Amino acid sequence: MKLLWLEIVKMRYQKRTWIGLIGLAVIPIIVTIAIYLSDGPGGGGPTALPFIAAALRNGIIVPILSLFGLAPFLLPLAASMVGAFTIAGEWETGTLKTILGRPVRRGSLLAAKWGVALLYLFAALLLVFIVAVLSGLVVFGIDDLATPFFTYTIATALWLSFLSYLLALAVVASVVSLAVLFSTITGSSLTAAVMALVLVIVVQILLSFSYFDFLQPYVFTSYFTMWADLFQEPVVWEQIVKGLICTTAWSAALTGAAWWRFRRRDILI
Amino acid sequence: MNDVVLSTHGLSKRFGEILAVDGLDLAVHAGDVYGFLGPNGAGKTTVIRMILGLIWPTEGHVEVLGKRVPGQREAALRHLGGFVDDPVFYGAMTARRNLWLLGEMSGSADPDRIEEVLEKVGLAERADSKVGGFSHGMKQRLGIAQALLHCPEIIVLDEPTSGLDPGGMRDVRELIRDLGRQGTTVFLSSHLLHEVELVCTRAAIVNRGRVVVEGPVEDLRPDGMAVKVVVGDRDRTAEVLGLLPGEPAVVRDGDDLMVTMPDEGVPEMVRRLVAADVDVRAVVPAPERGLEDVFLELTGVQDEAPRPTRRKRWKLRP
Repeated sequence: MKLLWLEIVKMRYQKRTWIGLIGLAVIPIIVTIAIYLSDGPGGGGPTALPFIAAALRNGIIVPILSLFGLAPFLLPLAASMVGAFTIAGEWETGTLKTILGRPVRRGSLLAAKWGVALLYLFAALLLVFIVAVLSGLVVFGIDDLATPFFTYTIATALWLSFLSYLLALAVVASVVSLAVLFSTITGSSLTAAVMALVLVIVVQILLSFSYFDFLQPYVFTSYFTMWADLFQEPVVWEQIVKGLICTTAWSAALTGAAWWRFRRRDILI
Repeated sequence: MNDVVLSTHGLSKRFGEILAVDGLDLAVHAGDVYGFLGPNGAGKTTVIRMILGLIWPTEGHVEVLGKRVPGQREAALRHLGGFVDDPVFYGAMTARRNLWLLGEMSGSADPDRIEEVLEKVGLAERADSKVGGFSHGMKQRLGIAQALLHCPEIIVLDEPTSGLDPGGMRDVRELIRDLGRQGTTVFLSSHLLHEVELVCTRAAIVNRGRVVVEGPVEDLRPDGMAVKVVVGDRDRTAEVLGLLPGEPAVVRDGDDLMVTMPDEGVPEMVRRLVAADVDVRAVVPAPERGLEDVFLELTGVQDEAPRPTRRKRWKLRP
């Protein structure tokens, strides 16, 4: 637990921490502006959700639309970067040998860094959520979310949106673990981030072909937007439960592999 | 005060084709200031990495106060402080913050102790500056500060004076001597024989991952003084010198001869050379003998040393 705290302290001193947060916080503002400029649903994308078209002048949809923007690409990108910096970031600067000269277990260090990476993403998503709600409120005002079939109260809509953010975070934990694994293999944070992101994208492309349909349930990339199921009445839990199991299994396996790799790795810096 | 606190047992490390450390057996006793001497690339840093548990030995192990490294690395590191290569810190943090962070990792960081070690290494005034702006020498000092921070029984320093200016070197050497006097065991790697002579009580000389010689520093030092003799006829000189009492060690140095002998023997040597009709052009005190010379003599790869007088003058214990 102490290591976790120390990692948070270290993170505060890194510029990239703040740049990342600011970068992500800008997304809902951009989304708000885009909604404001659009006079109707566009040709594709988020209009798949039935209520979007009906609610384009309601600030309550800004958090959901922002998440739609983040979930398939930007969030995995952020996750691979945060995961890649865990070990490789300190490897590159040479501070890894300094901290491993202290009586800390390598496993504990890895766990703390994994935890901090996830905490950071949580903080970033929380910030995005808050900015999204505020900018929606300021620009459009917030009202009950009415769809053709049913109406969410403001509280329900906000709660479901927030839950969506948490589910997106849960899936993206697998990406963090993947990047952490590469981070312990390469020792270069850039390489690790690119490898993790490329792998995620390649898998997503392959899974869009029907030949690979049988793999669909077992790969975490299938669940990046599983939270959309929350917005059905009644909520369809099946995919969400499957997704949570899937991401937990992948996170455990990938982080375990990272630990195995890091445990006896020679630190030659 | 004679128990072994740090030892290596058949320690080997192979990097691909290269055997960097080859079955190294060392024993450092409590209170020793132990010099670990060798030329660059001798495997010194690799050994220190293994002591700190940063890399895994291919064979053998390290023992720190009965705790095995790497097996009981964490337990061993509570009794050990040090650094390897150039110490690296978080550049965006102040010196004090860095020490706090590292201290917390060893248990807890006491602000008074941080102040104390900063004072000790002469960084008290820069305690609240960011380490990113530190010079190499200041980082070196901070490296020593973090090694001392948790009051370990053993301190392992990898070339602690490298990159320091003469004043800094003197301070650091003084600090190491102080530590030794206070009973802290110090394991110090260096490629400077002079430095080891100045601060250490015992030393091992390594080359190609093996111990060439090990023993108290007094025994490593050549006897008497070294003089450089510039003469007309080298071979004849060597012959004459061979008949001198006290068996001076003669080593060829370019066109000149380096003679190591007791101080009082020098006039006698000159008298004999003159009597033997050798043109003595100069007899000057030799420059400080570097480790390279010691090596050449120890490993016997000396090229054409004058035969008759080639005797080992190093009282070395195998």
